Amino acid sequence: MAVSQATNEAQAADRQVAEAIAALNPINQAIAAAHEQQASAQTMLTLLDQWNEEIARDPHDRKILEQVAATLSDRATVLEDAHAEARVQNEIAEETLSSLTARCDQLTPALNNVNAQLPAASEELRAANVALAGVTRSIQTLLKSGPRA
Amino acid sequence: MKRIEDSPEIPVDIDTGVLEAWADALEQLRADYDSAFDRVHDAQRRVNELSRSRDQLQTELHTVLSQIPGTQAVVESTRSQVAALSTQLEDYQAARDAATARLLGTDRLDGTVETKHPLLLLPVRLETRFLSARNGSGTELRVRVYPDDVHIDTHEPGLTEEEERWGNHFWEQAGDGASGGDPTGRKQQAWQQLVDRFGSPRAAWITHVLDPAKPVTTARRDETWTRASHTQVLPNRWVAVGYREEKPVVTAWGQPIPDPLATGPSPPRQADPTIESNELPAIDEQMRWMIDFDTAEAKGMALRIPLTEDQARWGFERLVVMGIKASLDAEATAGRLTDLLDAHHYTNGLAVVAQNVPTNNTAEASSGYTSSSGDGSGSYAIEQGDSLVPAGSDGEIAAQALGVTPVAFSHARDADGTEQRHARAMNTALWGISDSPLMRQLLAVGGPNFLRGHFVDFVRARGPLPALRVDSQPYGLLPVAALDRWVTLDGIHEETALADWWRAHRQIWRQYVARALSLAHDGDPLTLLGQEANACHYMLQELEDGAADQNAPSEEVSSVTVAFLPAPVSFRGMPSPRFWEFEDAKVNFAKVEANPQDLARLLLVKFALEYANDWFLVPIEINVGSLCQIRSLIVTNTFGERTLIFHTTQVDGAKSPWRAFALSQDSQHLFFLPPVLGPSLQSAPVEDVLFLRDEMANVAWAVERVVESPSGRPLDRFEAFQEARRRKEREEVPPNGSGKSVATVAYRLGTSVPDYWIPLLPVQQGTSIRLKRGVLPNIGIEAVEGMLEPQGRVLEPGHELLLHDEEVPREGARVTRSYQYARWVDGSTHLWIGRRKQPGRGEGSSGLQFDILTAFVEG
Repeated sequence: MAVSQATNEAQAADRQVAEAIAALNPINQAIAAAHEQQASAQTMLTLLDQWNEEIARDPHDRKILEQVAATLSDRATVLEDAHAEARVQNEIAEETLSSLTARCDQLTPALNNVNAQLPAASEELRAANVALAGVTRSIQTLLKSGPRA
Repeated sequence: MKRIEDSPEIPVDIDTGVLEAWADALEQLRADYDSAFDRVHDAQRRVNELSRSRDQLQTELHTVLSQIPGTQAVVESTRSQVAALSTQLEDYQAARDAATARLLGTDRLDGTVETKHPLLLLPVRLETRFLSARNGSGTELRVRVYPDDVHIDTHEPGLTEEEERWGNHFWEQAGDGASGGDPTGRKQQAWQQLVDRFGSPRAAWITHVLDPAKPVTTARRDETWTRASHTQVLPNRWVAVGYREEKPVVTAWGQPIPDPLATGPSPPRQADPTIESNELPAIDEQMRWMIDFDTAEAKGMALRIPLTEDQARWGFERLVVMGIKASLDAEATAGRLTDLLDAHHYTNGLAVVAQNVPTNNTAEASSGYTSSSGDGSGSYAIEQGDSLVPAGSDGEIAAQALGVTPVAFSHARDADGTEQRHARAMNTALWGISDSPLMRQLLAVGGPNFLRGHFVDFVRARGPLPALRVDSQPYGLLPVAALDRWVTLDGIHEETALADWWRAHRQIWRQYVARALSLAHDGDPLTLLGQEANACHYMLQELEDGAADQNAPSEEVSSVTVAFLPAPVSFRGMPSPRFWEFEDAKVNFAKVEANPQDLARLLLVKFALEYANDWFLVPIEINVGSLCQIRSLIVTNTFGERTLIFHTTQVDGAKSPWRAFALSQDSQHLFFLPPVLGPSLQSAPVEDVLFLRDEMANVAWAVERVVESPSGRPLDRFEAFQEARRRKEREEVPPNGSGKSVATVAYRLGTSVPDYWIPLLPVQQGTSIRLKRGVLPNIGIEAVEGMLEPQGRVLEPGHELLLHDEEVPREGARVTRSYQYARWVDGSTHLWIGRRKQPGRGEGSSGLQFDILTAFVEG
């Protein structure tokens, strides 16, 4: 019995470890991606510094400067495309958010209005039902009593 | 509820009144019941509706609220992405621009261009070739850049002695001290004298320089040509950018360009005589770049761009070559541009082009440009009148756009036009009645006041600036701006909003660009022309398959003995090789009228309109009387490629019908340069025959006006005929008082024609019409006295003469025989009779009639 309990506890501990590791994996991946991104950005900055240094060199090495300018032109073109696409995506998202907020602003007062009307309508229904029951009772009474002199 | 009949409580014998009252009460309760039931129903429905609305609203609100956080996250994400990319992009763009500026020589070390100044980009002509790289591996793109006509300055500022003399004469006549006639008439006459000698543009320069009120200092010029044509408005360097799928994929920079750059040969004294080679023609060093690629590359007028394998395979959709003159500031640039405009004005002419001016000669209308003529009346008012550029005129607007003073256009033809002003007025009038979906969208963006101002001030159906003409070449001024970098300087919100709107919609329109018809994708020109409202003519020249291969360079031919620069054949009225260039309205081949039989005229027009640009003129000196054979003709183009040109018989076959300057029965392609004389003395015609058509009589006539007499002297047959007629009339006079009655009418079988009119009768020969020389009877006093035969040699009496119908055209023909006397190169003299054919004087009528009654008038 004790062995069985210990085995169960060990299995539970294993599961917890596995779950913890599983939970840690995305974090590790995110950290790795961030490191990679940081390294890439650092590389880019380093390259950009090197290029700027080459651009500022006086007198300049024409061949190298032409290569630098061509590379910069290529990358600027890629960035321009990415920037234009991101800007369009951002404009679409802004517009969507704006319309959602506007709709929310329309729905909330409308719901409040309905909620405000509902009690009165329920009360009216209740009163109408009471009146109907009264009339029904009167009819039954009249029928029951019949014509009397 | 029970039925009344079923109720045991209802008494049987009841009073009717009671029963009725009971029934009434019951009826009232029924009505109350119905009313209460309806009230319940209505209330229930109301509650149901409200509940349903509440549920729907709650559901939708829940959905909306659940979407907002996600959307907010996307907004934040894309916003940060845009911000990050913007920063990155700015860094890269700044670095790229800085690198380009250094390469173009426009950085702070070599000079700067302030962004507040607009840049004027003049057109250039590009020639490109994909060739193997010089080092043998890979492919390179070679680009040659040639300045367009507008760059070239051929002006000669110095005056010759003759120009000075006639210029001073002009101002003497224009001055108050001159005598005779009114001052304006004298000045106009003196102007005409100047124009007769020097042409209008040069006359304008001469009077401008020698104007006593504001003389210009210039050097005396003893020669007609003192400096090479040149340009001073080229940029510091060229940069070439190749595009594929709308993206720049290759960029290259050229070497610094000399300033000035020669664009033509130097005068003989200045030209470097040492440049001689069998490979290249002898030209001076300054203009060698125009024919030699390596020299052009060294002078920055050619670029050699190494390509990757993919770039070489797929090529480019677009190649843009541009550059700016950053070494000059704005003021110096404007000065150079003014000088260039002045140079054009005083050499080939500068004008503003009005709308709807045709550039080409057609059968319906001639082009709107006529080359300089001797008629000075048209140019007098322009060159010697008041300034043509008042405020708001087209010339003033053009000057303002170019950054030069309006004086540059003050005497340019049509600079006083008011098209731009009228276009503004028209826009003002149209604004109130214009409407379209696009305008509504723009109104939502910019607001009506701003949009109206923008439309009235800047939008022009014909373009916002006037077009110019330099010589025969029109140039449109097209203002452009980089929309991506548009910023408003005045902080006008609507302007920014409008720019944003255009930027966003440009993305959409770009998708449609690929669908636009283009020569690159659509082979059918008719489909393409169908897109243009007023295109109605096109000419398509197809190359046979393999034609390009036949022109491939041949390594077998390695040398030539003579090198020369070929010059394209040109003549007045020649169609312009450039589509929009003005053709000269002086000669309009499209208006030439020709009958089907006017073969020579038809051939001339055909040649002039279709094949004129197929011909080049090459100077080769060969001895008179020699027999030459061109063993090979090699063309070296401006990229250094060499192409062997084959003889026409090798291309078209030995039996090709095309021959020019070829010898009969010759298979060796020999060219014979026969000895020809220079000027020779020519006598008056000893024989003069006029051929003319007589459509009324349906014949042609050969009129022997002059024939050679037996003594060898000219015999005027007209005078001889008149003399004979007068003699005949004297002999026919009836004796007075004879008493015989005289008839008042007479019947005549036919009239006679002068005896020197020889009929040419149309006869059918095979499928063609020939004119056969006929003969008329010589009608004497009493009877026919023989036949009228020709007396000269042209009409070949004694033989049957059959002329082709086309040889006597509608305008007639004149054939003369004259004595020719000339001296040959060895000093010997020669005398002979030569024939000459010239156009005639049009149709004629002999008055020949048959079966007529003639009335006599008594007394």
